[in-house]
Amino acid sequence: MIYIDLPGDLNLEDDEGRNVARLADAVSRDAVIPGAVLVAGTSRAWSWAIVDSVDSEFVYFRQISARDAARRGPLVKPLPQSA
Amino acid sequence: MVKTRALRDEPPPGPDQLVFRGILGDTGLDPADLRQAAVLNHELYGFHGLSVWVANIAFPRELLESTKLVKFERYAEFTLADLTECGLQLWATGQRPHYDVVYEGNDLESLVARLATAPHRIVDNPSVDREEH
Repeated sequence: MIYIDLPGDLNLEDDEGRNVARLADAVSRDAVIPGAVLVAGTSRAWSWAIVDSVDSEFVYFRQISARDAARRGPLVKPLPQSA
Repeated sequence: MVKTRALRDEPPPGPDQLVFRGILGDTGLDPADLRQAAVLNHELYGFHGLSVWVANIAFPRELLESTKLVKFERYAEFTLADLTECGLQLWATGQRPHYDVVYEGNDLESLVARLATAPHRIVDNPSVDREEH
């Protein structure tokens, strides 16, 4: 199962060729900052992505490969700790 | 604040040209997915539009399958003539070969219904990138 950090439509591109999503749709708004690496899209059409900018409640990001994402940090999140 | 969407100044595509849109979910062109995408476009640019890719000599199907559509397992294929027959228009927005499908009057439900029911076929993308999470 894919864990989507930033739900969005990877068909949509802005005038600079970047994908766009709503900040409000992010699973964790605080994690969506320029330079952050996350998974964007839907469960059937997703990509590793790097956040380019956040402006007026919209997130502008570029798709990157898993290899590129791995270079920037761990690809696996730790499981939540039980009490 | 709504942004201004740049329109490319170029000849419109021909009626036989193919128009592609990546499928977001499991059930083909789901009206709910289309509605959500069109609403987001309206929030961004002030009009209801749905992003598509138009194939041409510079951007043939195979190139689009391995670039703009590479994350999509399946995509919908239309002809421009069929979209036009349904009352839809293409605006040359963003970077080539991106377009927005729009409906006259900017009516959301008409746009969604017309695109969802326009003649199309669902194509498996042979170039899909199924990289692991």
